[in-house]
Amino acid sequence: MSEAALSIDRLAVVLHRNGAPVSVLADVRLALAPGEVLALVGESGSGKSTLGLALQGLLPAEAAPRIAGSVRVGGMEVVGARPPELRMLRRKVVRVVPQDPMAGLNPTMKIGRQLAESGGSGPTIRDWLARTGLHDAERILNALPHELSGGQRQRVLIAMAMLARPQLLIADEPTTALDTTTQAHILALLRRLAEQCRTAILFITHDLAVAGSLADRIAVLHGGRIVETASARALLAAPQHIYTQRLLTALRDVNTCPAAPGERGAGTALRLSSVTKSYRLGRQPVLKSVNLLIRKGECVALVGESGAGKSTVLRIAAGLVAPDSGDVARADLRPQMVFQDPASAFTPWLRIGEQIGDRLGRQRDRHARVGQALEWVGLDPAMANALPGELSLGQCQRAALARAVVAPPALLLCDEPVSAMDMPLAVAILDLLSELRHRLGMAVLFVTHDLAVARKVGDNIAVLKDGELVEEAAADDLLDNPQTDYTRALIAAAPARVSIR
Amino acid sequence: MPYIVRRVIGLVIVLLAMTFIVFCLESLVPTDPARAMAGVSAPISTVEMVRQQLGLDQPLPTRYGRFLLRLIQGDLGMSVRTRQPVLNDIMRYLPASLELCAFALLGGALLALCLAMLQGWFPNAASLRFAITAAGSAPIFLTGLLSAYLFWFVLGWLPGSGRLTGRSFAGPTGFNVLDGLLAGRADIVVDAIAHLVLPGLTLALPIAVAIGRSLAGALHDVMRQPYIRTARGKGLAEGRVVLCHGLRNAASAPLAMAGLQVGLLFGNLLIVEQTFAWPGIGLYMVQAFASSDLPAILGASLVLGAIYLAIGIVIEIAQSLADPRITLRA
Amino acid sequence: MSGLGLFTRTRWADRAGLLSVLTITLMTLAAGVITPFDPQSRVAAAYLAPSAAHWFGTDEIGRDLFSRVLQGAQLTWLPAVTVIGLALFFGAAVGLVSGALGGWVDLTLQRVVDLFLVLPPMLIALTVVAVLGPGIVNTVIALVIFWWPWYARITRDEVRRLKGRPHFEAAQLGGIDPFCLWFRYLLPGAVPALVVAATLDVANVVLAMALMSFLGLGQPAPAAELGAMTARSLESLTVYWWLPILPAAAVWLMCLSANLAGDGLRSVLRGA
Repeated sequence: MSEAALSIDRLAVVLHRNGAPVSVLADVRLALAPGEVLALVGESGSGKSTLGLALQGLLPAEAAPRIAGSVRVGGMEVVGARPPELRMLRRKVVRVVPQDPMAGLNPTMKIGRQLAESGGSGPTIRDWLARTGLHDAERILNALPHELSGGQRQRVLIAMAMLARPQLLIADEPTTALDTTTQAHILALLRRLAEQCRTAILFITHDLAVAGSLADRIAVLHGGRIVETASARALLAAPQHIYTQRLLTALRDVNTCPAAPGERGAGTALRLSSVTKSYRLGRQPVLKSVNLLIRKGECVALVGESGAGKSTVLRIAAGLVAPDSGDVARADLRPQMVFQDPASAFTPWLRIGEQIGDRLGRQRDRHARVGQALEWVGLDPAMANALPGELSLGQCQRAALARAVVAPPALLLCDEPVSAMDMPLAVAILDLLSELRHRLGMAVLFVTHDLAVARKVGDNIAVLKDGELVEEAAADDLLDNPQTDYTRALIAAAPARVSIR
Repeated sequence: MPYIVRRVIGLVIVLLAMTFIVFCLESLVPTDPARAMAGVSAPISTVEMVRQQLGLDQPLPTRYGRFLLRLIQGDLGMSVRTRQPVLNDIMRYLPASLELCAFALLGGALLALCLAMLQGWFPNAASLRFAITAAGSAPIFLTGLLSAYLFWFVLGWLPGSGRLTGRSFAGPTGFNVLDGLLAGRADIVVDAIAHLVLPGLTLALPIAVAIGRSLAGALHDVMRQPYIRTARGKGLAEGRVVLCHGLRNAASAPLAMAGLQVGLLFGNLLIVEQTFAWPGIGLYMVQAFASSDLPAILGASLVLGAIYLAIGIVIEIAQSLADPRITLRA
Repeated sequence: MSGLGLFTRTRWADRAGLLSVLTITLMTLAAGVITPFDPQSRVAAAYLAPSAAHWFGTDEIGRDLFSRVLQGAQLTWLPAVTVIGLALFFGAAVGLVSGALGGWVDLTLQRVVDLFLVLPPMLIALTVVAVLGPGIVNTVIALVIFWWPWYARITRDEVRRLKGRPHFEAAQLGGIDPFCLWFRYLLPGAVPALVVAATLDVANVVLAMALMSFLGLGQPAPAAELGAMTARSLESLTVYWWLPILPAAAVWLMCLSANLAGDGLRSVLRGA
């Protein structure tokens, strides 16, 4: 008889935030068989992280949690268990792979010691390191976390978890902070572990595409409740619940609805000629002789892995940083920029309207123009009096666009502006961007690591690898007929997304 | 260049700056030292002769050079009050103060740990925080007075002044506790410790409050980090999580605060040594101030300043040991 | 962020601290007017215990102790606030220039600041005062000289941190003029750290001044200085307890208020 690895029945969790009770999870039912991979999909605020914490018995004490219902892991009841039992549970039965591998490791303790704490002797530890793909065991055991790459840290965390041979492994968005290719490797690794070790995996994510490529079954969490559970294939083909349908629509939108091409104006918005840049003398150059041309009104999507130099290209184009050699020609004195984290793109103590209006200096019609810019981006002009902290993520990014276009630039630079967003919100922002492009005739340089987004947004796609531009072509051409191996590898690693049509 | 070498060079530079400041201060004294030596009613010619003898008519760089030369030879001048070389005076009184400070720092550190732990266990206890703030705000002459009054005058549990009761005992190191141990005399050791308690704890209180608050704040931030959740997720006991994962990452700011407290210790030392009649360098300084004994004031300032700088280096080394990411750089 | 809204979010201890600080400041400003008796002249028999007529009793000459303590508080609190104010002004200015300009200006200024920071504070202050002679002005000068580098360091660190943040880069790209950039987009970011440090430092300066007066480095005898009052009456502790204890308690109250206010500000600014 094989007992379910995880069995959740009518779980309800109430947390106290600022003294007030908030129902975070309600009537959650879930079951996992040994060796099965279940993806729990939900947007931020849906309660998915709380579920992970509850399964470990690690809900924060300051929130005075109230738990009702039943959670059985490997035959043991978690709700109402005493601390020593919970500790045993965490030692042997349930393990978590956290979201941020850098923050998840003690920065001042050697990797070897942190692994040893997880249980297991020297040979076992090396064995597990090898199984997760880390073969340089000596160096890694003696290293500190900041000396490893993101992918290596995540593998260490996976090895740390598997050392306990847990029955249930909870992977809490483990690949959000990683490159597409590394993400593909980690997902494949998790798949292997589930099969070989008969470990049930609960994979928490906000990305439906990633869920589809990895999991046997998908459960959708919305507002603290499980709204739909089905096999991955069935759910993606025919979603039953409205929310799931909305998620899938957004996903399809990104993959199948490219933006209408812009009016190509005469003239160049940006030209980089043989631009080279290194940050430290004698080190490898970050950019090697990059040539990039963006015509007026055109949108070029720049894709590449982290460390390829995409941000450096943006900063050189913006004029924040000067290249070591090569030429930068701009139509504009000041291209505008939109950032990945919209909240940190605004000075926290000044009002939105002031920050937008400061671009105009002391002009008579300043107030009117700020209001107009806010309307263009779909915000109420009264928002000008709000502080950045009062705005939601989506509102903030719209306000950032308003700031950029209040004095319309010839070139708009975008640094992964939708990477931190859930799909429906991302689609809305990308549509807005498109609309602004057409209204104002702006050229756009859009940096992203996500090929699907690049396809939706860009007229052309340029691929950057280790500081060199390896391929550039019209979006559809590049994705349908990639010319270089690297591009092919990128397309292959993208989680089933580009191929969802 | 290895860290120690760079730091020593930096230390020398700062010491030179200090000596220059001290030298300038000497020259700023409003009274004319030549006239003071010669006497108020001495004729001008005598004053000038004295001035030549003292070398006060030389240009500034030469005077500074000779001043440095004297310093290197260990000549800190002659105390006006005790009529002894200042260096000798300092060497006599320094061990007593060092013993007291060591006791205070140790006691302060331990107390700080207790306070930080208490605040961690009762994070929302407003009264606890208030009590700690109240204790830390008290001026040291008040706490010294009150503790002497309570524990010595009223309760008679502990001695209120001096280092040893009545007997004369002088060991090799000048640290009575150590000397007592070396000489195998338990009665001396107990007596010395009993005398250390009141002044030591009075000194330790502000240190403990400052470091404790810094530690509590740093721990509060650290315990919210994701890697603490990872550690708990391994099923480790809470005590181990706090000690091995929490404290070490929280150590940097409290260590910096400890360095700061050592700097402030000096001022408090003067008060405490005066209140408890502790024959240390603080009492020496107080008497020097009272009798405007400038050579003693300046000489002692230099020596104490050098010690303070050395402790700064020790703190830096401790910080880098706690956090291996901090590379020691000048 | 409305001020009143801020106020209602604090805890009772922090509110008490802020109110206390305000009260003390007002009382010390008005000390010349509100003292019940003349602090310098004999108004009753010596060594009277505290009573309804003389709230703090009288001292060895028969002067009303409450009036003397009030005047002493004025001589301690107001100069302390002045020291902090001046040190803040110079320190923040240097820190802002240093952090905003960067380059060799930053490097040079930082060496100067480092030099000041490394010297043991109390030591040099005491020595300077001992040499220049007692007096309020000299004390204030000595303390300002050795306090400003802390604020320069804090300001510079905050400004440098802010310069690297996306919101500052966005402002730079936006074409905002430099004056506006420095004073609206950089300096206000350093204000929370500065305010917290300054409020907590008020207590430290008060203690430093009380300490110096205890050691006899404050103003000469007839002046009502709190530390000196305690020092002079140490021996009477067991007989006329109010003479050493009450002035010291006044110092305690001032420090406690400043510390509570500083803690309250810190927790409000952290949560905001």
